[in-house]
Amino acid sequence: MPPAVTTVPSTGLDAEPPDLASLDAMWGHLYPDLKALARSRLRRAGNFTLLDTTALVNQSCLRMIESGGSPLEGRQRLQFLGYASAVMRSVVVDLARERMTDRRGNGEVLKLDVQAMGDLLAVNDDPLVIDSALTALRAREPRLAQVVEMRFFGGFPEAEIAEALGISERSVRRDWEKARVLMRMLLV
Amino acid sequence: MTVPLSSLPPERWQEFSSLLDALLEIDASARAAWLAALTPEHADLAGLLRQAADIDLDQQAAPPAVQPRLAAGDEEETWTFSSGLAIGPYRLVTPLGQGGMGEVWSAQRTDGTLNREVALKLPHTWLLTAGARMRLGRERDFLAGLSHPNIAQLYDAGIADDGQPWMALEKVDGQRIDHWCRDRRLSIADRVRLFLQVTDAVTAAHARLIVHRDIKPSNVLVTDEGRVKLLDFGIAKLINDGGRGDLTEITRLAGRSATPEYAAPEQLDGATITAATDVYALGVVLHELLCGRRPRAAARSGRGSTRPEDEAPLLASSFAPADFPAQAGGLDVARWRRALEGDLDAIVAQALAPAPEARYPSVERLASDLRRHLANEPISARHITRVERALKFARRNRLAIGSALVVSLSLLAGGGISLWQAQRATAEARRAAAEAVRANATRDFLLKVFRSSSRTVASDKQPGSITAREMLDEIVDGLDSSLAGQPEVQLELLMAARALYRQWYLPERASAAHARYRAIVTATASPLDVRIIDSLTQEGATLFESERFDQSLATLREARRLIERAGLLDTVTEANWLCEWTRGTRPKIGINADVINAFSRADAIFRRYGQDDTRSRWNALYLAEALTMDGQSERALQLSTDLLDRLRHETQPNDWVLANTLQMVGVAQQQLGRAAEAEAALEESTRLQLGTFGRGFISYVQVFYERVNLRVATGRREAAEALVDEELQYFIRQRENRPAPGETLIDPGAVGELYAEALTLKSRLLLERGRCSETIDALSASIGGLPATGDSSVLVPDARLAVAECELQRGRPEAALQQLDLARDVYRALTSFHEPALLTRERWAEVQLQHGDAARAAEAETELQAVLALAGDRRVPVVAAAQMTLAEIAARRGDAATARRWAAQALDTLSKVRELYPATIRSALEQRGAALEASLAAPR
Repeated sequence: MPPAVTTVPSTGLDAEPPDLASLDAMWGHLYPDLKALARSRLRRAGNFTLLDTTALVNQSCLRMIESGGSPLEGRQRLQFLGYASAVMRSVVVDLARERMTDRRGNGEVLKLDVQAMGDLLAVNDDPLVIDSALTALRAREPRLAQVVEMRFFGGFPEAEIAEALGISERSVRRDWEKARVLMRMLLV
Repeated sequence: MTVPLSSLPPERWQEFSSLLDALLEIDASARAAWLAALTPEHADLAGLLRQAADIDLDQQAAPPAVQPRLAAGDEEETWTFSSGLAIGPYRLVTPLGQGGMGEVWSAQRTDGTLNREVALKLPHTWLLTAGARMRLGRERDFLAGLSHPNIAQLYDAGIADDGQPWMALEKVDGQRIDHWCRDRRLSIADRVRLFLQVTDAVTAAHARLIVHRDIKPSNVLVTDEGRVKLLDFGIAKLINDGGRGDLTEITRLAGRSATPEYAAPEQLDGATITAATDVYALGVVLHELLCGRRPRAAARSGRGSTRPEDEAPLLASSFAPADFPAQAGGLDVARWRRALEGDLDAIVAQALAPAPEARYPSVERLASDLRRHLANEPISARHITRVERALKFARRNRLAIGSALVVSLSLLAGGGISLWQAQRATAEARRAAAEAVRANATRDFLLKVFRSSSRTVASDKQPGSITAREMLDEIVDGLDSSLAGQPEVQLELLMAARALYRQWYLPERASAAHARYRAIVTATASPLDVRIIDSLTQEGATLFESERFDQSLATLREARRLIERAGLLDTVTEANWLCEWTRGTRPKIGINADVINAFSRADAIFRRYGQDDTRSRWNALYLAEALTMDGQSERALQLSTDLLDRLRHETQPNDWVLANTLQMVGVAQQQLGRAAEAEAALEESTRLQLGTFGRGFISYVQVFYERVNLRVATGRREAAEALVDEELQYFIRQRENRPAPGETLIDPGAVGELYAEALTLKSRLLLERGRCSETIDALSASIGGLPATGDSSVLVPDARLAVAECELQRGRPEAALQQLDLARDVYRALTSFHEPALLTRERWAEVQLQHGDAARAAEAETELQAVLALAGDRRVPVVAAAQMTLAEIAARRGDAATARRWAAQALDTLSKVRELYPATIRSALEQRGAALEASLAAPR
């Protein structure tokens, strides 16, 4: 059976900008639930599994609202969704680590969809690879890292990211392209 | 040797980052030159920038994923359910599959009634909105009726005690269609033949108004015997669509992400899902079967709102897959390409057109093109070259309507219709296309009826003598057999039929058509669908017009109940209802504020939604009419001239609405004292009335009265009389059953009323010339034949008033008072403003005073006060008359001050009347004022 929905205390999000401490507490409540949700959103595709993060974030927001929190609007919602992307990143990375451990236990090696390109390591869509590249990128280009986190882990469309970060959609597209180039280079 | 980027000294990062920005800004072809031109101070960065340029180029060619991908997990760990678990009447046996929406298990009935194993679909509970849960039972019955050899049957569905929804489907032992083709190295032609089984299944479902919404290779299985089985028909709707946008954008997004690779552009945009959506998904599957890959995957991912015009031509043969042709029947690339070029390219392109109206109008048409291709016959899809396609896109907007015609013309050849649900489509062109398709289907059907009708009735009638009514009956009765499987066309025809039956006052037939219409809608939509509510409202109106008042109110009340339950208050649906309800329940005589408020509210709603159709226009006319009755002439004029403007701009305005609008304009102009404008509007209205329904029709008669009034008010008594005489002659011909050439006999009851009314008018005209004895006998006689209740009951007191005036003129005040007493009794019951009522009551008081019992003077005074109270602040001649009579009463009492005050008020009122009225009223009042002054001044 799917896990029972955790009850989340209302944080009065409709009145004040999100208080990160209470958001943390709330996500803390939701975290186990989110992981279960993430598992259920895995879609098998050959040897790999796709994770529909957009739907995942949306579903978890929906759950939060259903369990007593208030619907978020405007700026608050956007800040909150940025935060949600960060949380989703850790959910996904945790899940990937678990998987890798399982496989290694079975004597298999995590297989990457490597597109050989000279001596460059392919950074495609493996969450662990992206995660470490993203950490390296954040130290140098925090905004680009934020864009990648929201796009890749949060699954948000460019328009919403632009609005959340207060930049143009064109900037988001450029940031995304540049970030993907830098991340691939940073992994070498 | 270049150092890795991670080892770049931090102080150089900013420089590198800026240069990279510059590099990425410029076109790929110019980058080599740009790199070569780097100055020596950037020598340490040149290598990194070159790498970056390579990576960017590579990533542009093959964009990296935008979502994380995980290595596949352990099977057991990720199953939510477990073997042996009981869900509803089933027990789980083994897991079959898992997806974004939930899990599928092989299961058996716990009660052992059936031995077969079923595929039990277990969607995640949170995916089902409350609405979907409610609809589950109905959808189940609906989908369970869908039985086709190529469709996996839905047996049953329900919700387990713990809230887990389940659906039991036919368990299919088969392989995905793409894998099946690959493993058997099927030739192109065999693939097309196999695909035709898929289109057969979809066509059968579409005929029952079931759209799949999620066609993809994993939903198309092929058994070992080569039989195609389509899974999950209609289930995507159940899961993803709560029936209305009642939750947030979040659920919409969640629903949208089902299988984006196969989703049509309108599906991704969250627009209306139609049969064309399935055509698109079938196009993707066909493309995949023919080329081994999906069309232009790169262009479709990422940028959500790519304009269709921006997309390059979709030519299947231009995809050059490395190893695919060898799998497709062992072809080399050149032969494979030749097999696809031409027909198959064109067919796939038409199925994959980004705009729904540019796709095949039905799956059947797609299938028939494929069959023609297999038989080497010419196909209907146009062979498209790159140049041609570019031209087509450039001309797209201008051709939107034209292409709709092309679609419908190609449809005439095939005959199948399955475009539906287009009512809610937003794009103008899509709507035009859908309408053209339906219009043509309707036309074809009607032509068939026309052709067959002479034969059908040959036994009892002359060929060709069938009436429109008989024709329509035949059409409606033949709907089920001739148009089975085309419910949308049936709905269209029923809609036309119910409107015609309404016009012909055939309430039983109209109600039956409404009931059938609602039954078809109910089979495919929610019981709270607006079409059902609108149908009830229209039926209520029809019953009202046919004087089935009780039934009408009951039907309208039911519509109201549904409107409230569906949360449709303040929508066009409610406005339609308000209009009909108010029309049905407004006072028979007179006007009150509630009526004006209700019509105004409906009018405001229509305006807010930009609704401008026949219904909203009639509402505006009812409102204008109510306003003129209430004396709010400016607002009435504003409303009716607005409407007139819009009608004048139409190429083919509805003459009936136009005639009524002109009438309202005329009345309002007359009330505002503008004779010329009023005359022009009323005369044009008359011409149109005569051109549509003829002179016996009630609204023609109304305009006729307005015209007579106008002539009298502007002092053209003879012209007025001539008009009335002409009308009287017409009614006399009708009464004597000898219509003139070109005239038809109308309802005798109506003739009686209209004749009495015209006669009343004639008497009043003769009165002024002192010749009313000419008509008084006829008038008195006709009163007896008039109804004492209902809409026409006002005719009686009006006629009595005319008789009373004649009796006065003949010097018989007792007889006059007798008539006035009777007329007054009727009108005293009326508590709303109705000018003739006030006129009658005023005359009663006046005559009572002059000729009646002196003891009743006090009663007369009370009566006049009541008249003034009902008139409120309206400036109408009857108010002046009442005030003058009050002055006379005061004078009779010897109260000169009060008398003078009332007389002055009377003349003041008269000076403020804007309405056109006969000059004789003014002179009569002035004379009375002068006589009063003389009597007050004279020594007693």
